[in-house]
Amino acid sequence: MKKFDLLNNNNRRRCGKALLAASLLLVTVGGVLRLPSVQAAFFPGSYHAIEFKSIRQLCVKIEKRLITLRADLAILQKLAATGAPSSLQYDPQVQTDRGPGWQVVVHETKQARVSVLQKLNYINATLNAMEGEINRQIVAGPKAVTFRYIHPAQTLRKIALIRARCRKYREALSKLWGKVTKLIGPCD
Amino acid sequence: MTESSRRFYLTWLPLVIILALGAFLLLYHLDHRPFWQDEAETACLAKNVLKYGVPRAYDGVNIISQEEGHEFGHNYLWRWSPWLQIYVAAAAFKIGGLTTYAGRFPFAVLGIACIFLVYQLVNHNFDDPVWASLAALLLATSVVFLLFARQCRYYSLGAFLTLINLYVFREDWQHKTGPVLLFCASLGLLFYTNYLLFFSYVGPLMLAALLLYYREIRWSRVLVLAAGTGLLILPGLFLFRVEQQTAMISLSEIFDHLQEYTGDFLQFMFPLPLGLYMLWHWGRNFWKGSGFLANPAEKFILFISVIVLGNIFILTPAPQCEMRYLVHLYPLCTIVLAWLICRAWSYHKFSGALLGVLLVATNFLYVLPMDWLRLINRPVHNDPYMLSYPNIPLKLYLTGLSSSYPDVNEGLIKFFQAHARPGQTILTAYGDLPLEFYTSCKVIGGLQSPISFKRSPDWLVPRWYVRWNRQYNLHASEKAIRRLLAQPGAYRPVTLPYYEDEIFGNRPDPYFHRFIPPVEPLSPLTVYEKIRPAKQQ
Repeated sequence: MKKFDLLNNNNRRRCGKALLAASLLLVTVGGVLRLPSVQAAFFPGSYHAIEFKSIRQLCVKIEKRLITLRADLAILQKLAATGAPSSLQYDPQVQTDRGPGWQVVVHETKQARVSVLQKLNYINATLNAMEGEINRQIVAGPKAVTFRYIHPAQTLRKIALIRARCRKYREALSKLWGKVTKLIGPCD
Repeated sequence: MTESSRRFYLTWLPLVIILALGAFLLLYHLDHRPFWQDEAETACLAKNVLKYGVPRAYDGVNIISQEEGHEFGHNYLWRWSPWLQIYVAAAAFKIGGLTTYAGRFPFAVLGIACIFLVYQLVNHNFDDPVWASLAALLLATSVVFLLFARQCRYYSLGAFLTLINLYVFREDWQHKTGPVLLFCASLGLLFYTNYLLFFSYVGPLMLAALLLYYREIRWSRVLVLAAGTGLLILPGLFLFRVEQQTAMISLSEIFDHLQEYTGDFLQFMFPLPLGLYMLWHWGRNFWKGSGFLANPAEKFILFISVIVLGNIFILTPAPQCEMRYLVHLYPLCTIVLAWLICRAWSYHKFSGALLGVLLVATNFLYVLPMDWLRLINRPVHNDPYMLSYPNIPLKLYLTGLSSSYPDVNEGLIKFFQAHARPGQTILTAYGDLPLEFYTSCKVIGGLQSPISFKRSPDWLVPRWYVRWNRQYNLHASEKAIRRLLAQPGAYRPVTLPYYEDEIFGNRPDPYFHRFIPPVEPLSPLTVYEKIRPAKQQ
């Protein structure tokens, strides 16, 4: 019997063709099996997955927001040390060393106090909304039946990690609140 | 069969059939769903063009803004983005009336023109009607391209001008005046379509031309082209405050954007395995020095590929990473894909045919390899009947067009048309622009800032999806709605049956576009009506 020689050009060409056809057939069969209607008919409920992209993006946003909050506080502390009652206001026309839009506004004492309290309230509302959003995403996640297989235990572990991060952000806000309260008196 | 009839059957008949198919897919039920926020921005500005002659962001009642008022100055003249798409929509409204169909029609027609140009570009330059027909067919059946081309936005206009420019580039611009004028005009108009497309296209075009057509370049003509195009775009550079927007470029996000654009590109425009094959093929030929660039078709494919990849790379520092900035590259991708199908066919007929079927009829080759390599990150709100999952896209597309869909904007528009009195105020967290276009109410909120009202709004529309501004603060409308809803007894909820509070509505991006209602219901759509104190007798 004649031996198969891979170095022979004709054989290599035949192998290449077979490989190409087999790969394309594999994709075709794989795709047909993963069509939603085929999945629903033959593999109901077999895959549960949660996609973490949007949650990860949200965490990145929260972290960026916290960085700006800390920077706000640093400026407030510095100004309090000089005895100038002040607050931060957003103004898109202004360019500062912290990026566009922030400027320090010197006010009467009462006005500054109101302004800072308002800002803290906004920060609080922002964090509440962020937490609400994460919770909603987590609730929405497991509902979304997808074809990516993630083991339920792994999913739960990821959810626990995200909730822990939320707690961390909440603690960070409490600390900020405490520091500002020290600076401007109790928040009533 | 005579030579002329053979030529007719081979050249023109397939083109006519493909154009008819494309026209049907692009024009059928064009007003099936109402404008979503971004389309409505163009439509509202176009409406104001009919009134004032220029795109003003304020019509005396409502403000058009999605960037907290940064889009205009004290005279409300729109300076955030170029005006060409606005004037195209305005012309359509002038002829066809203020309807959804009229607003989308010119852009859909430009989509059909793109299909024709793809065919013409290939057939005219390489005299290969099979390759040309396949490329046109791939574009005509590309559901993502169809979705974008059916929007009242610049997407198909950008693709059309890119194709015109490429077509002219292969003409005798070195010696003739006509191609030079058309070259400058196409680039100038591309700038006025969207300058991000212009900047991301021109750089790679020059690079690819230098690398691959260096010997054909006549530098005196290049100077004429540069001067002509520069003169055309110069007023726009100042009018649209391009230098201010460059301040928003974020170098720290380049890597993230590169990742996202590459993901989108491989998942919806050019399958990963074919991309790898191209790299292997060219790498091997460069290594061997086999002179493959002597083949004009292969040289042109490499030229297009450099443009596409360079385009993606230049887009990465831009402040927003959106699939829409890649749409003008779709026709170029289909030319490369069709060339690959022809190549596969000449190598092994069965594989060539199967590759053709896979690319025209399914998205398996796009989605599955990314899925197997775990490179897909689908947002939580995706479901299996979207293009981010293995599907038969045309079937989904036609099902979507031929059945009713609980579009969030449609729900709100119909509700307020039926229940709100003209002149009443609606404060909404998002989707303010469709309401401005379709209703006669005063609409505030959305992504505008600041939000001011003398008396509390008659209607509130909080949305399930929370939105933040560029400084990662809650939008002013979100804060205002939360504050108003916190007042006890001020508003009562009204849940809209059938409609769901999805994030955007008829957004064409494959990660967001639903063709049929979601498998798992989303949040119900709820609006809040102000409780009026009972009148004393």
